[in-house]
Amino acid sequence: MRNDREQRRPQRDAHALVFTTAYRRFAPVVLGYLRARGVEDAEAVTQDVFLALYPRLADLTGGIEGMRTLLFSIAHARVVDHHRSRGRSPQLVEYVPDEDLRTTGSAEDALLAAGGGVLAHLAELSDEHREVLALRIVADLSLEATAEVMQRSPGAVKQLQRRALLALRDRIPAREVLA
Amino acid sequence: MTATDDGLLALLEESGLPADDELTGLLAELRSLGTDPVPAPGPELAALLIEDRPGRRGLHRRGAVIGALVVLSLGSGVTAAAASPGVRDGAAGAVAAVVQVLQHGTVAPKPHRSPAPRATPADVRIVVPVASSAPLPGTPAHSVVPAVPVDRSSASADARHGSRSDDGSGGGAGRSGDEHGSSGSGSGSSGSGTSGSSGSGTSGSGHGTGSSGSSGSGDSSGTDDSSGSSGSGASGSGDSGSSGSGDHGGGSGDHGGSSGGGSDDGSGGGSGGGD
Repeated sequence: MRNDREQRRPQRDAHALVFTTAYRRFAPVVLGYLRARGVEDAEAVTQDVFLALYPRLADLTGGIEGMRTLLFSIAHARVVDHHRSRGRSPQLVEYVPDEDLRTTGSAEDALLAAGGGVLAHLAELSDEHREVLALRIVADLSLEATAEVMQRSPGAVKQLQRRALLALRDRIPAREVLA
Repeated sequence: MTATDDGLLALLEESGLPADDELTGLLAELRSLGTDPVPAPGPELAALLIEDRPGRRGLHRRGAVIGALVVLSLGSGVTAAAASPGVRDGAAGAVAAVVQVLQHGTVAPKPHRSPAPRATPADVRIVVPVASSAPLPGTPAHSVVPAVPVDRSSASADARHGSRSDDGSGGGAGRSGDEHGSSGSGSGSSGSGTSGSSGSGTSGSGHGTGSSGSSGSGDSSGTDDSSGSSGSGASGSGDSGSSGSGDHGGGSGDHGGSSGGGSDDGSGGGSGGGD
């Protein structure tokens, strides 16, 4: 019994070391990915992603890239769950007059909103387009890893990526006109 | 152009799109979302992470400080030794002696600048291993050191300056009896033997220059005026070593301060040579 415990101790320490390294390296990237995907409490979901990663470290293969793919597979599943749960339950928010869509804002407000950054542009894209751009650019996954996460073929991901970039580029003239 | 820009341009090229500054800037902004600081882990996650241990860093820092102090002290010691001409001379003599030992197996005595008269019996101080306080017949009346019994502790005391070995091997250290005083290094290689019949310092000849003059045994060595060779091999007599004579280990020279190291087996190492 004691020998088993002593034999498992180095393995547990190695897992803890790998896990700590993975958290320090990938936690900001996962957090950015979740923000790009429109997750509200991105920090809490980031914690969930890494808590789900820990028990799977023993089966991890493929080195650092394998870990990155596994990590964003988990994150992708969490995003899907998040959007599904939000779609099923009504979203209760406090009424804010300035956010009432039935009103028309001023041109100055529109200009400031346009300077809100890339998240505003991403919000106008479809869910698949947001996903492929977030995985390729924020998570820095390869075409093959992105295809594995999205459960598509690499060719399909390549086409999806092209259409997403074109859709994003189409948003830029509108901002210039506004400016 | 940074690596990030290269990656984004490759992405655009992979998609068959031309490089567009506006689009590239937007994609760079998108990529920067993943460069935020590491979020603070919650309690459940923190339990799985290895925390930084400042104590270990402190240990490393403490070790580095100790190492630096050691290096600093060694450096200052070397500097002080280099600044002293006596130490330099002694070091040069010691190096020369070592080189000679390595080349010839023994240490050649230091060449004398003038004919060196042998030490007269009046100049010799003898320590006799006899448990008697009476002087030996023939011992000069003005002998500084009376014949006293020497026990192991005194032999050890001698061995601090000379050399002493329990297995019968002798080692000697000598000095040149010049004004500088010297610390010599003697080989004393022949001062061996279990019977200890002759703890000889013959080949344990001192050869040294320098300033320490501390290699003589007891208080009889290292003095220019006494000029006696003290065979402390005799004092190191043990079971059967009855005559570890310092005469053989005595130095030749004007003052001829020399010393031998006694051993329990009776082997002595003598050395010393003076100018």
